Amino acid sequence: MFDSDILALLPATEKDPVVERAMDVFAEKLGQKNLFLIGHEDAQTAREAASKLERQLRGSSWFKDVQGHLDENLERAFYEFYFPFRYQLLSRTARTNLQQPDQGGKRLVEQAEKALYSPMSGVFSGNLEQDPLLLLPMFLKDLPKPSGKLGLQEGWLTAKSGGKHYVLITASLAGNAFSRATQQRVMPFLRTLELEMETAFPGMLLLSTGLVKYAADGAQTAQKEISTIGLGSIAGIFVLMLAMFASFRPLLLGFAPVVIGLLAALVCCFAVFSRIHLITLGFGSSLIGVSIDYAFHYFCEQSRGESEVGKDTTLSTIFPAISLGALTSILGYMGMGLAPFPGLRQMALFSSVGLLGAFATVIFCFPWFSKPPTKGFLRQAKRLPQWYLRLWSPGRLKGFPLFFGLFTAGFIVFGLLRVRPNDDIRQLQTPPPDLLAEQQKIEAVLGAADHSRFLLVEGRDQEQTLIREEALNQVLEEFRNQGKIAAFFGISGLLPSRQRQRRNHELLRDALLAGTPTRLEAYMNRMGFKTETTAAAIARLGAPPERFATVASWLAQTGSQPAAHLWLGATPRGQASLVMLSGVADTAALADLEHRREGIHYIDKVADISLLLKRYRIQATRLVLLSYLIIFGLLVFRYGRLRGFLAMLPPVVAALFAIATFGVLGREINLFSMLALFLVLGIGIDYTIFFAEAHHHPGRLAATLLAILLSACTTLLSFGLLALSRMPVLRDFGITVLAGIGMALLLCPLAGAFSGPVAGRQGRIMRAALEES
Amino acid sequence: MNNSSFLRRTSTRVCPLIFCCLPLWAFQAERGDERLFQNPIQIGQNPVLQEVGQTLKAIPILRAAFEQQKNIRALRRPLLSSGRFLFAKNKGIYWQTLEPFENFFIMTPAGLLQRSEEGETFRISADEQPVVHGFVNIFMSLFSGDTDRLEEQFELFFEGTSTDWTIGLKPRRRIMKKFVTRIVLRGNRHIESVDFLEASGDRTQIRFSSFGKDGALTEEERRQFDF
Repeated sequence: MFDSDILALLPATEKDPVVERAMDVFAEKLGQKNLFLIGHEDAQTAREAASKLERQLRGSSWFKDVQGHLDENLERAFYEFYFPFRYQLLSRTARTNLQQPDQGGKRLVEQAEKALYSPMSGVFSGNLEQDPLLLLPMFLKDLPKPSGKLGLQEGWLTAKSGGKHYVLITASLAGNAFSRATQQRVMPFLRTLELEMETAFPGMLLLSTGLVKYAADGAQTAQKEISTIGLGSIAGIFVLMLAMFASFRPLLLGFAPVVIGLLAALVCCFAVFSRIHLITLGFGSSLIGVSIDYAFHYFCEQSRGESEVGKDTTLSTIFPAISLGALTSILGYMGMGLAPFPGLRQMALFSSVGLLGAFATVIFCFPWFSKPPTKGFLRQAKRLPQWYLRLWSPGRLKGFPLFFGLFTAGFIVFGLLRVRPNDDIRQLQTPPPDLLAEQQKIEAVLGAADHSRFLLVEGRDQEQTLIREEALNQVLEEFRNQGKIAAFFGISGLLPSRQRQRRNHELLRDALLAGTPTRLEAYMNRMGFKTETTAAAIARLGAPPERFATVASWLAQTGSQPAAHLWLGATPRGQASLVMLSGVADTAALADLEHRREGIHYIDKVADISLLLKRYRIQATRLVLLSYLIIFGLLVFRYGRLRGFLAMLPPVVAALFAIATFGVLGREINLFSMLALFLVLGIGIDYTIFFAEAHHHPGRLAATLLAILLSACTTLLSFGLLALSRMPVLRDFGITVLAGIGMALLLCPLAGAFSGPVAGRQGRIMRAALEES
Repeated sequence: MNNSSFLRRTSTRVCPLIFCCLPLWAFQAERGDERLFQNPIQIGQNPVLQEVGQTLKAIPILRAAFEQQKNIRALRRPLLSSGRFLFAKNKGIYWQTLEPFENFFIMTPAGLLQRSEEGETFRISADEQPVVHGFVNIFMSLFSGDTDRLEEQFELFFEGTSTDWTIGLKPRRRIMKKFVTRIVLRGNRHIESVDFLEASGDRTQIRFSSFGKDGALTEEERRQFDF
């Protein structure tokens, strides 16, 4: 129901939907994998602790495919899987040697002889009669390993690091890592397990990582922040309402639009998206401070006491202003939905519907339920707007406008010069420090794993996919030798294509069945094999292979677990597999592979998304400029050139100030900061419009000003809380809007004033109007 | 005259002799073993064995000639080889086969390395294969007289005196049992023969002779152990 996956916010990056889907499948598989490292100074203790952990994991219903101890049966099964194909399997070195049948054959025979003579031959002479040249042990010994640092000790995958022995256990999560229900069961289970282990084995260190941990933390943080922002905003409104209106009726009534608006937003989002992301809720909770605005305007206007009993004209009086305000705000929120990011569209829809709901509640319900507050109320409450206006009039606070103007100008110039864009998606994902530290410890032991760069190999069927991957491997070998990549790993190293299996067989046959007597025969006679054994081996090698190792059979045996996730399986176009890359130094060469070879796609998730974010940031910037121009046009149309310009000044300065704030703070801007400017415009313009309208009706000035100030307070509170969020997306929105609206609020009296000497007169008129009412 | 040519001449003379003596030698070993493995002992209670251990411990560097006979079940004939052997207490074991082909086999706590004239043939690090770790430990403990270590890994059996002894070893741990069923050592002032019976039914018998305890490791020898 509620999503907490940040990647769900982002749109598809691949232009090719098949590739996108394949990557999703892979991400899912990878996401389900959990890794445990049990470390101890004594290797034996580490293994005992690992045994216990393995038992516990197997016993729990939350984990499946637990891979810990490779018992002899598993090793045996692995060996037996390859055994029927032993004359079809060759390591890369062996294959290269056999390109020259004479030399290669000689070396093969010598190698086997020496192995048999050495005191250690017991290690692999198990099936000597059926594998006289020890081909299978040689092949298995040279199999590529996913992690160079892991070795097998007593059946456990072990690595040594910093004086400790670490034993590896992997397990798959039985459930969705992003499901709250799963998180709430698995996390306590893991914590209890860790405590148990630490008590039973003092000095033991348990490191673990898995998507579920990050997802649980993300969800928890999101929930905490939603309540902080929500409760904070509500508390702020509560205090303000009580202070201003001193009675409970407005308080209760005031929350009605907020609540109804939020409910409407939730329902709408569920209907359209069927799942709501927690980040939408986080952002949506800041809506509380904005949707209360219309209620404020209603109460403040009502408190003027002009409406007679039974005929409430409050609504008709404020309707033009608040409907225009609502319209611009909603348009501002909808501007966020311009980028085709599912997450942003959700946020835009949620906020727009929420505001609309609040607005509708005010205009339809308030006339029925609201009663004007005490007569004397406004007189007391006037002090706030009076103080506020004084800021801008010359006389009292000498030179304040000038000083303020200079400071702002300086701030903006400094900030804009300093600010830099940063579109890297990694900025948007901030794992908690303790999880990050654990991840780094694990990487120190196992070596860093790069899960964001791959080569996707596609083919019509399994065979073509494997053949293409084999050809790719050769190129990647070269790349590795040239230092363009550090390492690569694909399943074709563990499972050759049929074509290659046939070729291997041919190479062996040509090398060993050449000459009279054949090299094989000479070797076997020399070593003293029985005649039947020799004959059988010659027959076997002479006949073309009948059975071949296939992907399906390989996947079926548990020895394939470490690499099984690289086989993506069926796609609409055929079959696909992945080759993992690490230490990529030359991305251009890899991207080039995509063009030179068929069926190969280079995927660099981080770069792709970051590029997308950059493109949309630039587009958003253009749209923001456009919308400001349009608004400017409208204002000029309504108020004339000069007044229109002055009316436009606050929002423009606000926007520049908001961006400059990032520069001054040393933070970098991205798509979300730019999108937040729509909000700055949409909400900030309200103050300007209200002020301009109030100028036309001086009698309503006090009430309007009060309403503006109250609205601004709650809005600033809400977005201020948002700016404190740990999630970068919310934080960027919060800072931009906070800075922007703060500045818009300070500057909005300009909208009602003329420049220069006229300001004084205008200000006096305003103050006089205030005193009157 | 240098070592290798001396050994070459010795081994060509010795080889045919071995062929002749072999049946007798092997036969003798079989019969004796049954009796040996009926008497398990503990080092703490066996001062003679302790003494033997001390004697062996006193030798930090041992050079010898070896003759090896491997009886592999699948093969009708035993595999015979001979060469030079070097044991350095803190380094490892250096096994240079000279007949029937030249081959170097180096065993240290870090792992195994087999090297032939063309270059490296294979290498197994002790971290990768636990069995290797075990094997290396056994050999090192055997030659350095580390009877305590041996007792950890094996059940011990003993016969004879401190100048003419036979030690039997049966692995305690499952992982070693998979490869070795039992080991018999014979010797007087040094270990003179080692006899492995492997779980697969294969059997390796090694005989040492021409012992020399001279001096320290040469520079070249020292280098061989670092890999």
